[in-house]
Amino acid sequence: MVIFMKRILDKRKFEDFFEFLRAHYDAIGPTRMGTATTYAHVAFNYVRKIDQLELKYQTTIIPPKRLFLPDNEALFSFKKRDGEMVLEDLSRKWDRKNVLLGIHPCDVVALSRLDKVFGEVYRDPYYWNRRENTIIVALTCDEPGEHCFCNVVGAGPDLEKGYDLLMTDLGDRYLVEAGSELGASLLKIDVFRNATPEDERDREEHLRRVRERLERNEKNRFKVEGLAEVLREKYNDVLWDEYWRRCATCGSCTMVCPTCHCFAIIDRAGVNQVEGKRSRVWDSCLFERFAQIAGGLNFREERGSRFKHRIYDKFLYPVIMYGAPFCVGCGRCIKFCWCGIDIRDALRRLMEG
Amino acid sequence: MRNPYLPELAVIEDVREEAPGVKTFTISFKKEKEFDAKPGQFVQVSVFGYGEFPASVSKIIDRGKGRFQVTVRRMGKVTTKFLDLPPNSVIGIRGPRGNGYPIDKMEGRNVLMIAGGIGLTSIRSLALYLLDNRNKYGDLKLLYGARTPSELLFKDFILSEEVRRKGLEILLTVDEPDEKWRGKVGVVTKLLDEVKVDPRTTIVAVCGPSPMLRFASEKLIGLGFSKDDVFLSFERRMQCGIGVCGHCMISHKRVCLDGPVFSLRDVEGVLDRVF
Repeated sequence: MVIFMKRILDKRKFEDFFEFLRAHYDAIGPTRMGTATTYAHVAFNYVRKIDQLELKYQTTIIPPKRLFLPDNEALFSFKKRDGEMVLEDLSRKWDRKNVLLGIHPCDVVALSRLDKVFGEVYRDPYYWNRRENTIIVALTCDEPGEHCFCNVVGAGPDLEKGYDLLMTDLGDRYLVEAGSELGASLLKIDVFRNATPEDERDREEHLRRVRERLERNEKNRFKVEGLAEVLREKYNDVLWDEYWRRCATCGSCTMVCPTCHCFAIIDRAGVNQVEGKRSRVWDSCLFERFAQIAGGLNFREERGSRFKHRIYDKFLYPVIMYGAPFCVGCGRCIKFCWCGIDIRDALRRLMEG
Repeated sequence: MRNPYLPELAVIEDVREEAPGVKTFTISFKKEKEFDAKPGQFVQVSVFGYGEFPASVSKIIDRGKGRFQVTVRRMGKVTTKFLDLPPNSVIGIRGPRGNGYPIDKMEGRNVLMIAGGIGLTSIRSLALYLLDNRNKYGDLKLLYGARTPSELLFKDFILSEEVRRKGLEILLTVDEPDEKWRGKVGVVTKLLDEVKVDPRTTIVAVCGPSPMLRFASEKLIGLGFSKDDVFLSFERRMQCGIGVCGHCMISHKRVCLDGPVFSLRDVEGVLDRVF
């Protein structure tokens, strides 16, 4: 039996492939949002028709984490019935398998980081009910944005693992690689044809161009090798003051970050208090009372300590806890910071000493 | 596997007032089950419609039947509601969670326990355990301070002659004495001047408000204790209780998972604010 690891999908056959996927999965992919009067952007959404799919995109505002960790999710309901309290577990498996189509390498790496958070000690049923029912058909980037720096943190532009299929746009065709047994079995379907050495060379060339673009961006001229050690030493460096003083601690960066996953747990009940739900909602370590305990003592009362906690919880603490930094260089935190904080600046200057 | 966010239904069997604003609740599960907790471990207590809070298990009453106690002080929205609950109220319990005090490491050593205020809850559970296994441990001492005499908790325990006969030396102090108080006055760390402890043979367990943890640590280090032998139980506002939500982090340490009990060595060099 032939096992295909790389094949070609001609763009004129893409619709057939999409329909094949749609027949077996619910498709989630980048779709164009907004109207003439509202902010146009691309967001991950269910895709029912191929023309809703927007594969030529740079980045979404909200990362794919929201599919697996919704910004507001009911965990269970409670209800008093005939004087008896009844709890109902609201964790649900998706009825159908989903395909996450057109997700970029940085976001795939981010999901593999979240898998550790939600699986390493306790298995989070809400996260995994959806995550393990999702296959990933990733897509390498064509045009990295000015805020992208995946190359610096080793999360792109190419991708080693974490996907079932990985597509690279070669103009009139995609080179599609399998990253799992399931992916390899998908490559058997007849919309694909065999790849030639030339196709593979074209892919290399494509990625080289993308990498070059990333490297040409002078903001990206810093290294993260040894960063953990430098962070450890420079926690009290005056350099931080420049940055945190500009930070409004609005939490935007944490909302758009593909690996930020902090949440609060809250109860909502009707006025009679006999019926309600417990939910988790996205929270942010930048918010003023995030580290406050009963009685009002706040362990991160100063803005600076909250700002630094977020940066350190990307580049140092996760390296200790999970063996990898939690920044994938997607650039969202830079793009959506209205205070104009560019983490690359801070890290570059910190590393330069 | 059980959903770790889903509490188990439990019933408040009995409520007893310990001190103004502090009550001890005896709790059992609706579906009878075994329940055990190491001293220093905590449970997440749910008051449905109000929320959840972490509370030290202050005493295991019946392991087999899953009956235990928590002692809770009125602090915020959820504990205020909780303290108003009458017997037979239905609540939720998750846990036990956390690591607890190092009872194995304490074997064969003297144990000095220091508690401030509501911190006696978890320290008493340790003391009860050590007394139950008295022959495994050396000298046992408990230093306890409260704000006022009326706020001293577990009076039946801390004033008990029987407990002292079993070999637990107890020293008490209050910050603000009343006219009847004949005991010591001042912060609990001052009691360290009054006891003889050998830093080489003693393990210390401390639980209390954050400033007290800091002062006690400084004083103990000054007395020659190794950072490996001083254990502190930290308070943070754990929400998920499974190391995910981020609220209880001290740098990369998650108090709900890696703690709540840490040695001074564990938190040595931690960048975030510890105390």
